Amino acid sequence: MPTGAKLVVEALKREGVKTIFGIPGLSNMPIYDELVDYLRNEEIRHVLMRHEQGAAHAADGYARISGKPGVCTATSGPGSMNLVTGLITAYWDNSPVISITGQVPKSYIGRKSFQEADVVGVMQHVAKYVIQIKEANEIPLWIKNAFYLATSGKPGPVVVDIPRDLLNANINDVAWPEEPVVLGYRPFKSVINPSDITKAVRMLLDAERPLILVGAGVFWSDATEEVIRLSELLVCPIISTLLGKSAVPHDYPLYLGVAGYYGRAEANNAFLEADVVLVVGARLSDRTLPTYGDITKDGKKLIIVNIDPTDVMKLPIKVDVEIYGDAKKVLKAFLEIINSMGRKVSRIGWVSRVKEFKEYYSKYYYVDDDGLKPWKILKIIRDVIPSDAIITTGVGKHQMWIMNFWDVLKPRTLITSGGMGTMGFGFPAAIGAKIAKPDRAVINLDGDGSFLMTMNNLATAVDYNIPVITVVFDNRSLGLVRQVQELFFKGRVVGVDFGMSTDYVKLAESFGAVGYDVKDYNDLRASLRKSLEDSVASVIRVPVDRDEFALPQLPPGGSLKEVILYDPRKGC
Amino acid sequence: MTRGKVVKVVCHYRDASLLEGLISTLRKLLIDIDWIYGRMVGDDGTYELYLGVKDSSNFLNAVLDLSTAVNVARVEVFNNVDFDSRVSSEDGVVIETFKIYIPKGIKTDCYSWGEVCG
Ligand SMILES: Cc1ncc(C[n+]2csc(CCOP(=O)(O)OP(=O)(O)O)c2C)c(N)n1
Ligand SMILES: [Mg+2]
Repeated sequence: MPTGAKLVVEALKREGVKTIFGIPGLSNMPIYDELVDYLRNEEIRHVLMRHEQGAAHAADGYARISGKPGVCTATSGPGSMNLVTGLITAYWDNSPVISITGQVPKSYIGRKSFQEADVVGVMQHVAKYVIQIKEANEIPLWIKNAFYLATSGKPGPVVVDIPRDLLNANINDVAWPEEPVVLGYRPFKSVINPSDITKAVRMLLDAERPLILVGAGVFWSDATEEVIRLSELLVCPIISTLLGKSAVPHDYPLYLGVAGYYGRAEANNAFLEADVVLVVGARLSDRTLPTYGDITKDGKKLIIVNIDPTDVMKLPIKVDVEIYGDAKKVLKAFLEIINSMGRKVSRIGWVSRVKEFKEYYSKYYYVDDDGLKPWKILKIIRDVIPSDAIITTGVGKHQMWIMNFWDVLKPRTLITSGGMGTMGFGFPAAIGAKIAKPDRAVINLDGDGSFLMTMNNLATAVDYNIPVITVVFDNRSLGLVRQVQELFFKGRVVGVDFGMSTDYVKLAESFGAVGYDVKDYNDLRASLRKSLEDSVASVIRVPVDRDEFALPQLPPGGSLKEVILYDPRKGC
Repeated sequence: MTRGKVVKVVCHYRDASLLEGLISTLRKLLIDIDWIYGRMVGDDGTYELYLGVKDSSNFLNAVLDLSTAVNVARVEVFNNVDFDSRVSSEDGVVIETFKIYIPKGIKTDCYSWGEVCG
């Protein structure tokens, strides 16, 4: 007779799970015990992380890179509560993560028992769904349901909380469900209505200055090919959100970069000047469009393609055509209709205008004075690593530099915490990404502050020989916060500077990883090449001037017009 | 008797976290709830929850969020509905009556997983 714990592991295997990231404790130990046989047979792999936040980020990184759900587990109480930051990070960016948490036995619940935590109460606010198992024989169905919920509609994390007595219970009749059953849940429908698409296509063909804004929906639905083809046929420049960046190869000449709060000035300008904007898989969040005034003025027309109609219904602006569905399917329909119309457009004026923007603003970006320049560091890394290498990031100025100066060459090769802006995402997400794609180089481009939040997982990378490379942009500060203090708090810098105590080479070595201290660009090239060749977990510390700003940026809540292009302390 | 907007949520009960989740959906949008009435209406756990809420600029967003919460089959919105609650006592037994007057044929907006029906 199988135990509840056996059903958990078997159900995960049946869902195709190959790796579980986690940390054991009293309440999920029965699951670990059942896992032993699966590990011995190499059916499932367990990766012991050094903090549950790292386990959730690793599962998230795995999911974003593989497109399949990532799985993590934690024990009750502190274990499950440590997952919170990782889960909300996945939730905000629609990443399918499954988290299995052990809970204290049913008879202990509600007694402030040892390591009891109200997982349902807490997790319902940080995940797409949380279910607490009541009877052990429900486990197969709810694991199936968890995968269904995590991957359908708008994807997101799902938590399955299982009291320990149910994990230990023996089950007589095990029923393995064929289909999920979740009452009161429906994935959003793709409604591909040819007349709406024809209307949208006509608007785009008739436009003088059309623009495509690519969001995370294009990333999740793997619609890169369709977006590029559409842009070619319409001769239509592309801008993106931060998460959409990973869906557009930057060697495509009509891509102008990320728009928004910290976005490229040329992308923002193109948005302001466009007469028709096709928004695909983006919800126009405050990060992309801090003020709706930028869209409503000048009678700009808006076409939105989104999987979730309620995202569009919530917008306080007029949308001319709304099309609900998966980005790939909808864009395919766009292409069919354009092809059937056989109309050709040329937009020499608009294309040269956006190219002018690009050229004009580069003089602000590519300044090469003293010290190591972030844009140049990124250019060197880009030149050295393969085009399909995967990049993860922390959150801060370095993330903004990556947003503006990292060239994505292949789709799904950049992952970052967009919606939640979670420092510490980069390193554990890199571990997950490397496990999803072991043959690809994985490089975590991190801030010193962000890396220190989850670098304890270096021990995991070394123990399992997961050769991820971290490049630390070491400015000895919580740089982005410092920048905001400089720009908007009258230079009253407080609580952001680190001392010189941390030695990143020694830190790496203390975990058994390899550390490099870079002095100049040649050093960077050499150490990166060496780490790729040696294929071991490595940390490359690159010193960056504390005063180096991440620009362009808008003032908080500002219009896309109010872009700050140069460091006011230095003059133009 | 008070008059106002009433939100009816048709959902599926598994445990009380269903109600917690629905109420917090309103709370997260800073919406005040004047009164609540709810009950199980089917053996399969179908549950109906009526909420008397104040109108606000966040109202539609809250309804849309409710209508895309897992376990919620649909959300109906009635405008200008009267609500009455009375406490009376008969033979020493305190009786509390809740009455929601929803006129027949009243226009209802219904939301379910991105679909809207009038
Ligand atoms: C977990 C977390 N805490 C605090 C913040 C607020 N925050 C945003 S950027 C930043 C500084 C990041 O420092 P670092 O990783 O060194 O990057 P830098 O800006 O220096 O490149 C902070 C503290 C955050 N985003 N996440
Ligand atoms: Mg820093």
